[in-house]
Amino acid sequence: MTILTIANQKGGVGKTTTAVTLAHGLAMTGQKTLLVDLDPQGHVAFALGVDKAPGLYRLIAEEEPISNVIVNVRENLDIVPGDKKTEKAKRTVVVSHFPTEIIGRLFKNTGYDAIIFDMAPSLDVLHVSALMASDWVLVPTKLDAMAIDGVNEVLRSMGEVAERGHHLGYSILPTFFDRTTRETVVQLKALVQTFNGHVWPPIPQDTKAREAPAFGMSLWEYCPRSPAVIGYDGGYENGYTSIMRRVMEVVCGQIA
Amino acid sequence: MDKSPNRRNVVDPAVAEILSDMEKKQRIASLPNSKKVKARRDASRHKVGLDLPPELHEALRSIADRERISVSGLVTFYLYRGVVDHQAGKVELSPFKRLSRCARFEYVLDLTKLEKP
Repeated sequence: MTILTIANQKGGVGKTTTAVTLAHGLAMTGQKTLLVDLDPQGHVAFALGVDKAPGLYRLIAEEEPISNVIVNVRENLDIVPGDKKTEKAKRTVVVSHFPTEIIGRLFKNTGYDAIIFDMAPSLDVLHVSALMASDWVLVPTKLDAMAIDGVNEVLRSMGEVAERGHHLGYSILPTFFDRTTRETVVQLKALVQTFNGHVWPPIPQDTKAREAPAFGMSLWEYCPRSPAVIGYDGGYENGYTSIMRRVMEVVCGQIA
Repeated sequence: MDKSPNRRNVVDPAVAEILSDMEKKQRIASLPNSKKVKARRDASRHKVGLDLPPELHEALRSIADRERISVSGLVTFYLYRGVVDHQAGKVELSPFKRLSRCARFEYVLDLTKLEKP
């Protein structure tokens, strides 16, 4: 089993879209996948066309078995939905005996090939606990200075996790990529100079990607031929299809 | 032993390609209008390097000279013809294939069996 966390302290960088797209992509390749919503906004359920629910709260605060809270949304794809009660679940985590280990304990031996955590745009105990449970962190970022600062914050948290003896692999995913603006080039270059091979090919800015959640559909269902999925037609790899290949390498253990 | 270490390219090849493409476009955008058209035309050219036997290169050069055309144009013309014939099933590669000893390709083409110019 491989656990991937999608995290960036900055909001609006495409975390949930990335989490939903990759989770459904993995499920479509036959990997039994669980997507866990750790964000009180509860948008994972919304994006996949089901109701928000206090799944994570029931799992953590009410200690219900995981089988009670998972919702099957597609073939091979289950979710643990979230809603505003996730905020209350955090308080339970804070007062528990081993707050940083709670997520790892809840999701080990669940029988999934891959688990994806969709994190809230914050740095709290749930965040650290999820990082402690993860094998790989994917940090989506817009190509602007503030979002890239969010990348640094996530990496700092990963440093804290490493101090506790848990070393994580990570990749950075540029999102909302607009190849026509000078700032995009400047920021992508800066990102590559700093993080080298950790930077994955970007996801083009795409209106279709903004529309898909309104229909409760993943990008593979709503717009499989859109730039966000297949990338710009520039003769180079980009878009979620190319990211799926890299995620498969992580999940199948070829990178990790 | 060569003591100068080679710097490894650790950037994802797709990301490197995107960056180089964007930088090229920005360079063109910063040129004066009079030079932009030529720069765009040059940038859109797709150049490839191929291993050709010297006698074949010589034969191509000689035909191109005689016909007063470029070698590139002539080779492109022949390749189009060859690809169309191949797609139509008129080209049979099997008699020329032999197992390759390199890991990258399963076969190599034995060109010694081809009729030479």
